[in-house]
Amino acid sequence: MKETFIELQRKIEMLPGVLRAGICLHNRMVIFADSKSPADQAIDETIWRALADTIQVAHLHKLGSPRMIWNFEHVKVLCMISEKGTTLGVVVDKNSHDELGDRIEKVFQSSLAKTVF
Amino acid sequence: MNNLLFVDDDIAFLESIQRVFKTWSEGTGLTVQTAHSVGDALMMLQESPVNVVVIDIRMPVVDGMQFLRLLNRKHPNVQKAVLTGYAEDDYRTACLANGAALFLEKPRNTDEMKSVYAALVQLLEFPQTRGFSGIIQQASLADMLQMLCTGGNSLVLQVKSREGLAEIFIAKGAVVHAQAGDKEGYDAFYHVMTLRGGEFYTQPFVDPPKVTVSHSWEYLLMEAARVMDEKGLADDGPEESPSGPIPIPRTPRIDSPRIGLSRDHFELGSLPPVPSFAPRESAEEAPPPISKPERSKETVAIEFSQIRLAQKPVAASKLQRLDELIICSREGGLLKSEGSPNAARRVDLLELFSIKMRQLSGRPEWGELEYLGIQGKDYTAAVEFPEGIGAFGLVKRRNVAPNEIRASMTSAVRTAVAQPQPVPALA
Repeated sequence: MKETFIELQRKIEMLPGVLRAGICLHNRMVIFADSKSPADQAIDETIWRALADTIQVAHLHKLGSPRMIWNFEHVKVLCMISEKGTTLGVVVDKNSHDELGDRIEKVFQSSLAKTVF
Repeated sequence: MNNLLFVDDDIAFLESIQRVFKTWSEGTGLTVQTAHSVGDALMMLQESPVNVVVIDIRMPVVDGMQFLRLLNRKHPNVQKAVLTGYAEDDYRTACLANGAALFLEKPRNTDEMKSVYAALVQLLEFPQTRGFSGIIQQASLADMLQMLCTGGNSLVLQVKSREGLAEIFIAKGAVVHAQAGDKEGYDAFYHVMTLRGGEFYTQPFVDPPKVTVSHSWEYLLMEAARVMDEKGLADDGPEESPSGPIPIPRTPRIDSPRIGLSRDHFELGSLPPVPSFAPRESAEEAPPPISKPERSKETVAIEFSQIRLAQKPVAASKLQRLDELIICSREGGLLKSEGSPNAARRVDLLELFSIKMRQLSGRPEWGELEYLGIQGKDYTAAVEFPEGIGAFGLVKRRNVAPNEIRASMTSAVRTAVAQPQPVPALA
């Protein structure tokens, strides 16, 4: 199962303009394709869980099927959620085109269609 | 019934102390057990409840200090006493730091044995407690849970009500399990959070029998609020105290769980500090006043010119007519609400965004957070916190540029701050 998500992340990270991707499963487990030091990974896990929590709560607030775009000074962080609660967070270049979000969502949805998540 | 368990590799000493203590404790309900290894002791602790474990500090394989640490993790509620022939100060300090309530020299004659016996009986009668106990009146369970989780605590939150005892297991600030009667997991959690009254206590953390909850506490509280809404409990007035032995000053309400920011219910000074929508630094420099309970009378002392909205200019023709607009003060008071079916829930959402914004900030490679855009199937929304003011704007159309929504919010924010309007109290 983990391999499926790692493959998905690699696919997304290959898209031009994508800097980094992470997946938070419905049980809050965070999966990254690359290996980092435990300390760095802990920080990243906090960030990705925060993204996942926010989109889940927004979903509860009748903001259905949302795609969130956290606009920072230097990057944008896209966040989307599957029907089963798996959350994808993607850090993209600040100047990337809006269509990148659609391409990421397409890859995300098509990969998830092959799994129960 | 009280149980003492002596753990010592000196079998002769164990036999002697068991014989003598049994004689002295006859008819008192005190039982004395012995184990000559840590392994035996752990098995006995599993099989029957023990009130006090008396440990020899120098034992082979697993020494007393290691055993103390192990007990703290596996059996935090068991009292620990150390009995040793090496009563040096270094040992004493280390043992007490590792959770021992008593540090005693091994008795060498009957008089010394009597002293040890008396000390252990005292420990059984007046167990050592850690932390504070007290009463917080009119605090909701949601407030308490929020405080415990944001503090990253590990403990068991026990809730007593006329429906019985329920427990919520919190590990490092995350709810991992809940049980209430024959309910467990999410069912139990929402059941507890929608109780109409009771008392809560915190107990030291013990491993839950299983992990049944995995969502964040924010999610759980939001969901609990939704369950309350569905049950129609949220807007009930003051409720009757349940009958029975537990006096309940007033029934807590969780009609809108306070996510990171409480609005108007802090009658007591003992509850947690109140974060604001403002960025962390400014919140620490100037904590927001929370002494005005009536939201409708709130005044906002922020000059028009202080509002900085970092965004690209938008042509007047591109300004969007907002289908929904919520503006909150730094303190979470509602300054403006237009078109929102449930303003209170939107304020909660803004509070959550405010917390998450702080969690996501602080990465130099990302820079400052400017705003959050949300795109749904049939709407576009934007959220931002200019100078700590919370603003949420929504247009019921897809693919609207968030900057156009933000520009429309700007003038509304300025007006709301410059001329705060009375807003009806939230549900």
